[in-house]
Amino acid sequence: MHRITLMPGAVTVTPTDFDTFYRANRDAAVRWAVALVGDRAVAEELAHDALAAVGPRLAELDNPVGYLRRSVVNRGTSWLRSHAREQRRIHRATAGQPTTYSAETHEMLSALASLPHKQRAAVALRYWDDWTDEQIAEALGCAPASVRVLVHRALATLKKEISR
Amino acid sequence: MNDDLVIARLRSALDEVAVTDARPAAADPRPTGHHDVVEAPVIDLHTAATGRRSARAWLGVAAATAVLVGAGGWALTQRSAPAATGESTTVVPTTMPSVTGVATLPWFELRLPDAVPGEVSETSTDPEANGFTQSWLVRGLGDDASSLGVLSIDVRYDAGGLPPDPAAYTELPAPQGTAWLNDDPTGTGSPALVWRRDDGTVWWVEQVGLLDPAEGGGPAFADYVFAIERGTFNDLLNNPDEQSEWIGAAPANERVSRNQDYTVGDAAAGVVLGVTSTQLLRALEGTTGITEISVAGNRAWKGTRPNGEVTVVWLVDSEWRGLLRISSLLADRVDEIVAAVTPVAANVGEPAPVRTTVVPVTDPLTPPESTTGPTENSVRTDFPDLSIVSARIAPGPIEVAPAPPVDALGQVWRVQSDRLDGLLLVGVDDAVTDEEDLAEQGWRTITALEGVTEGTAWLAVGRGDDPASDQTAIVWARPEGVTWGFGWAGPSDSSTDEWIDLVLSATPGSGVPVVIADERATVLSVVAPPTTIVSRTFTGVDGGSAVLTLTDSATQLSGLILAESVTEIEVDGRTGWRVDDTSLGWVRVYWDAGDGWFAELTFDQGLAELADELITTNLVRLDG
Repeated sequence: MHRITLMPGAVTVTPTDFDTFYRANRDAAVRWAVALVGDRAVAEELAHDALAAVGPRLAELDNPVGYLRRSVVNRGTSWLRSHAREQRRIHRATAGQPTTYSAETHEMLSALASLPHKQRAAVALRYWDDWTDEQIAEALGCAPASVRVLVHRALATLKKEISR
Repeated sequence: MNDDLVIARLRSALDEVAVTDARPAAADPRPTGHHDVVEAPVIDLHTAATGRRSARAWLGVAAATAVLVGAGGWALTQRSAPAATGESTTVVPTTMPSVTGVATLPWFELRLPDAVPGEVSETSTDPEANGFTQSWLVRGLGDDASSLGVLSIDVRYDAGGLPPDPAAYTELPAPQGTAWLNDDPTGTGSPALVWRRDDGTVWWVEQVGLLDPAEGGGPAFADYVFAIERGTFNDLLNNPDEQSEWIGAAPANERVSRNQDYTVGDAAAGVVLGVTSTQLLRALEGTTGITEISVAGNRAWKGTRPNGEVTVVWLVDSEWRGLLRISSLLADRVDEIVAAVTPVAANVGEPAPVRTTVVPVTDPLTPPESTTGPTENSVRTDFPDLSIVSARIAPGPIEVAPAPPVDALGQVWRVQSDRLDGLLLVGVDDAVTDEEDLAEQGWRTITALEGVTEGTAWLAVGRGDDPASDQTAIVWARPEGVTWGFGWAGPSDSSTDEWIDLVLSATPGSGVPVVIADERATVLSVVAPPTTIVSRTFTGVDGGSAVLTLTDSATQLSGLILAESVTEIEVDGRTGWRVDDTSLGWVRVYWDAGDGWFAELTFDQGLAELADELITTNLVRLDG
């Protein structure tokens, strides 16, 4: 986490360029990460890391926002993978305790947590942040057709979980 | 409930999360040592983990080998329920420490005959850091050439707190922007400089640890900072000079610290031992007389506070610092206590007792797993040292992490005949499925296969939004009470009679899940749950990147399943399979890297054109 590496040969980015990019995209990056991990605090850290990764490459990227999307999604997925069991333990241990979220939000977050990472990312980014299939596909590293499958399955599972 | 309602609920929930931090933020990011107990991030994401998800739901992933949800995403047997079984929350505190963001927590214990461990507490401060902290060790800063200090620079993007308190800070000339210096470090013990620069950032610079804090706190300190050049990376500054040694960077505020109190002997005040993710400066803040020592084989620094308390900090890894605070009442035993610090295995995933809980702390340091075998956080380090060696490629750091908790049981065969060429994969579920299950999982065409004498088998096609994206699988409900889901990846078509015949020749194995006694099929691997994921990014100096991922399980090959076309190539001196993702312009290559490791190398569109050359010429094994 927060492993920051200066890459030899990286193109020089003027501070102003990156400052502008940072300010313009930080909130969006946090929002994307919230969609992925369901935790604002974690999302802010992931977004920070992703933005930091864009820094050295900003001048050479044709689509830095697209790169940022991929970076956020990759970091969110990695985080979910490495914290899945830890999260389950925490949530089991705290089940039934008062929550800062409403009951409905609580229930939806539980349902989202039951989804495979890619389904979760696809459905949240599609319907909460209005990403296109192509944008999601690029970020997830799959075909747009696969995104539709992921979203379809995710909605079916959410429906089932919420209906219980 | 229809889709629109689910979507509305989804939006509403994430809207609420986006504006709410579930963890009450500690408003003031105080130095480590203030033991705040934070409320649990009570999200309860998965009370369902204990069994609400039925085996049928699981089959939606496992069976049919659809097994695979996408390139690189393995779901051979991705179960949620087993994670809950057999685990008991033996300690259920009324409040939980906030461990979000913490994956693997190093831990230490104090092994002294008269040291009595007390409670564990955790500190978490507001992670809303708007900038980064960087730390350097600096030698000879000030009048004393032998002095050793820590220089910390917070690079922030806002001007909050400016101008600083005029009672403490004096404005002074700066090469750009405006600067204020506090060269009378009474109270904090740290000379401080605040510099609002023309590039819109504000640098908060502190210097601690000099033998005499007053030395170096004047213009020499400021001049030293003014000479630092900002790096090409917005948040990193170039190493100032040969006097300094860069220690690390992290978000400006500290995040998580976990400590345990000890009483030692008859001393009224004792020892605090723990770990923190904060930066070096934060832990050493307020200390003087810093010297470099060793703690448990790690590089460490020891400083003394004005009240005589000794603080020791050591570098555990890139993320964690060990922390030891020794009361002034134990000043004559400092060396003995430092030498008694011993690393132990710990698992942050276990519920940790905190200061307010009524549950006594029995042995928080050694969870049961550590005495019975490898913990879930165990990682293998015997991975092949593969690298792309080229002047046009900058290799990134090797990142080794525990694999996600996947219970994988299955097998992979290499199949070759006149008409078949590819990989056959099977996932095994420990429940029996039926046609209703399959329909529920999205298979649109389900055809019972004839001539199956043991159990029932179906050829299942579907799960895509259109025929072009459909998958094909053979799902076989076995009389032994399990279900096999077969999938195919390779140059040849999977829906041939020959493929079906080959699959239906499978029998239960002894020692392996499934046996196919056919010379066309050679077992490539029995799929075991992965323990370790190794990843490394290679960045093209002219753009593009490639990511090498190694996993100690054939689960790595799952990325082949959804490929529209697969070609066999030679990679790393072995047989590999190449997938050209025409929609993204990416190239992916998969292969068995040997010794139980499987590799995936993905070139994005910026490097895809060079993939052949890099694979053939530049992909090398540095370990021979």
